[in-house]
Amino acid sequence: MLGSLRIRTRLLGSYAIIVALMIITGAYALNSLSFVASRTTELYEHPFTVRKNIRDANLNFTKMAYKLKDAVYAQGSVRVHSDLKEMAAFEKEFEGNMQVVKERFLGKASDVDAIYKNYEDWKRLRDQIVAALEANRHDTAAQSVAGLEANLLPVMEKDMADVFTFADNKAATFYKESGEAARRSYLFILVLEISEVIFAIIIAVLLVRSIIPPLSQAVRVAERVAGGDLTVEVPTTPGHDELGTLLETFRRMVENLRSQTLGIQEGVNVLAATAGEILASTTQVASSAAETATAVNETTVTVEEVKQTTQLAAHKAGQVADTAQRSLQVSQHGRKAVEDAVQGMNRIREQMESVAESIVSLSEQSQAIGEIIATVNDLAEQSNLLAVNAAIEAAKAGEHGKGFAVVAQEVKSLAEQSKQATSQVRTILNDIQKATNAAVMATEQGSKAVEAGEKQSAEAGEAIRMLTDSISESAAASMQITSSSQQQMVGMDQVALAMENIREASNLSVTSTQQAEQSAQNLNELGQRLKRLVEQFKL
Amino acid sequence: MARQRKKSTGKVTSGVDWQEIRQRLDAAAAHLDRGPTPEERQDILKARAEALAREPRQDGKGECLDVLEFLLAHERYAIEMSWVGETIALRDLTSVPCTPPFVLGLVNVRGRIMSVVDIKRFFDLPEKGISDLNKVIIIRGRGMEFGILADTVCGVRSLPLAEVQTSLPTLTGIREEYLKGVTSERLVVLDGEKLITDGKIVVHGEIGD
Repeated sequence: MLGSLRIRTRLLGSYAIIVALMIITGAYALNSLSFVASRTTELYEHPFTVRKNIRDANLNFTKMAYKLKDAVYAQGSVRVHSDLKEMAAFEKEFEGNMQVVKERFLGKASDVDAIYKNYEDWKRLRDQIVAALEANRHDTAAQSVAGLEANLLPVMEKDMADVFTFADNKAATFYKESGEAARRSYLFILVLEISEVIFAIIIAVLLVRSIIPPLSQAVRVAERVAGGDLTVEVPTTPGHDELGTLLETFRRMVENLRSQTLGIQEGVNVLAATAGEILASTTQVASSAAETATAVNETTVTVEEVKQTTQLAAHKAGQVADTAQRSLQVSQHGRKAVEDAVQGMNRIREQMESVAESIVSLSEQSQAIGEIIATVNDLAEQSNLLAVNAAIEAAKAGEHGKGFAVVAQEVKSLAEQSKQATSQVRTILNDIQKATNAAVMATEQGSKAVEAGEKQSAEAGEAIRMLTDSISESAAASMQITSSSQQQMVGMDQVALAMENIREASNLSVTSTQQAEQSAQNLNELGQRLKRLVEQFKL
Repeated sequence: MARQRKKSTGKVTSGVDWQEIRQRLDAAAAHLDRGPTPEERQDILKARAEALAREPRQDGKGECLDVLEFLLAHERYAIEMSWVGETIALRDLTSVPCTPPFVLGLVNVRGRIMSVVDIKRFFDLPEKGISDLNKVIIIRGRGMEFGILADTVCGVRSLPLAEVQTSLPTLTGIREEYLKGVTSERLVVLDGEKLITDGKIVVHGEIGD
C-alpha cells in the first residue's frame, strides 16, 4: 500500500498527521486554559475587587459618619476642625473606592446609582450640619445628625450590602464555571492523547514494515561487500522509492567497485612492478650519485691543481712578457747587425772582385812565362839537335873529331839540363796555372758565396725585421696573456668556489638519492602490500 | 814569436796567418831578384867539372859500333853512324799525294828537297801523331838520301858488337829484314844498309788516266 510512495512522502505524511493531531489537542488545551484564565482574571478584577472596595467604602462611610457625629458632639472648635478634616480624608477615600466599584461592578448599575443618590443626600445634610456647627448651633446640628442616623444610614448600609452580596454570588458563579471547563478539557485531552498514541503506533508499524526489509537486504549486501566479496548479486525491488534507488545504486556501486577493483588490481600489479623498477633505478641512481660525488671530489682536487697551474702559468706569462721585451731589444740589435753585415758583404764582394782581377793578371803573366819557357825549350831542343849533329860530324871526322865529340856531348848535356829545367819550370807553371785556376774558382765561389751571403743577409735582415715585428706582436700578446692569465686566475678561483658548491650539492644529492632510494624501498613495499590487499577481493 | 802569435790569433783570423804569407811572398820576391846564390853556382860548376873529369869507359873488348840512338813510340832504336848524315827538326813538312802511307812527305833541308819515311809503319808500331818536336834523321849512302821520322833523338853512343845479338828467332817478317840486332838493353839496332838498299822504299808510280 505504501510501497508506491516515496519514503520521504511517507515520513512527512505520518509526521504531518501526528503533528496535526497534536496541534488539535494543543489548541483545545490552550482554548480551555484561556477560558479558565479569563474566568480567573474576571474573578479577580470584578467580583473580588468590587467586594473589597465596597467593604472599604462601607467602612469609610461609617468612619465619616462617626467623625461627623464626633464633631457635632465635640467641645471646642479646635476639636471640631480636626474631626472635620479627618472626615474630609475619609470622604476622599470613599469616593475613590466607589469609583472603582462603579467601574467594575458586573451587576445592575442602578444599584450603584442608588448608593450615589443616598450619598448625595447624606452629603447635603452633612453640609448643613457643618454650616450649623460653624454657626455654633450645636443643637440643630445634633438634631440633624440624629435624623441622619435614623433615616439615611440604614439605607446606605442596605444598598452597600446588596452590592456586596451580588459580588459574592458572582464570584461563586465564576469559580464554578472554571471548574467545569477544566474537567471537560481534561477528559477531552485524555481521549485525544490515547487516540494519537494508537494512531502513531499504527503509522510506525507501517513505516517499519515498508522500510526495514529492503534495508536489511542492502545491509546484507553491504556486509558481503565489506567482507571483500564483490561477487554478490544485489536483489531488485519492484518499487520506485528511495530503497529501490538505494539497491539499484548499490548494484551499480558493486559493479563499479568490481571493475574499479579489477582496474586497481591491474594498476597495483603495474605499480608493484614499477616500484620494483623504480627501486632498481633509484639504486643505480644512488650508486651513480655516489660515483658522481667521488668524481666531483676528484674534479675539485683537479680544479685546485689547475688553479695552482694557472698561478704558475700567470707567473710564467709575466716572465715571458719580460723575455719578449728583451727579445724585442735583442732583435732590434740583430737587425742593425745584419744591416752592418750586408754592408760588410758589399765590401767583401768588392775586394773579392779585385782579388779575382789580380789573380787573372797573375795567370796572364804565368802564360807569358810559359811562352818564354817554350822558347827556351825550343832553343834547348835545337841545341840538343846541334849537339847530335856535332857528334855525328865528330864521328865522321874519326880520330880527329874525338875532342869535338866530347864538346858536343857537353853541349848535349847542357841542352838536356836546359830541357829538364824548362820542364821543371813548366811543371811549376802548370802548378801555378792550376793554383791560379783554383784561386780564380775559389774567388768566384767566394764571390758567389758573398753574393749568396749578401742575399742571405738581406733575407736575414728581412727575417729579423719580420722577427722583430713578430716579437713585438709576441710582446704585446704576452702582455695580453699576462692580463688574461690574471683574469683566468680570478676565473679559476670562481671555478674552484663553484666546484666547492657543486661538491656540497653533490653530497646533498647523494643524501637525497639515498633518501629517494629509501622512499623507493617504501614504495616497493607499499606496492607489495597493496597487491596483497587487492588480492583479498573476490572478483 | 810568429808561431805564438799565430796560435794566439788563430782562432780569430780563421787559420790564415797573413803575416806569414806576406813574409813568404817577400822571401820569394827576394829569391827571384837575386837568382842563384854564389854557393849554388859554385856547386853546379863543381858537379860539372867532376863529370867532365871522369875517364870515359874503355871496354877494349873488341870492336865497337857507333850508333845514333832515337825513340820511336817509346821504343829505343839505333842506327849506324856511318849512314847518318845529320839530324834536323821536323819543320814545314809537305805532304805528297799518291804516295804509300809510309811516305810522310817532303822537307826542305837547306835547299835540298828530301823525303821523310815513317818506319813505324814497317814495324807496326802505334801511331803517335806528328808535331814540331819530331825529329828527322837524314840517312845518306849508296846514292840514296832520305829522312827517317823519330820521336826523339837521344844521342850518339858506341855499342860493343858483342852485345848485339844478331839472330833473334822471335823477330820475323819485315822486322827481320831491317834489323841488325838487339842489345841486352832492348835497344833495337837498325840495318842502315838494308834500309837504303831496299827497293820497297823507292816510290815509283805514275798517275795515269
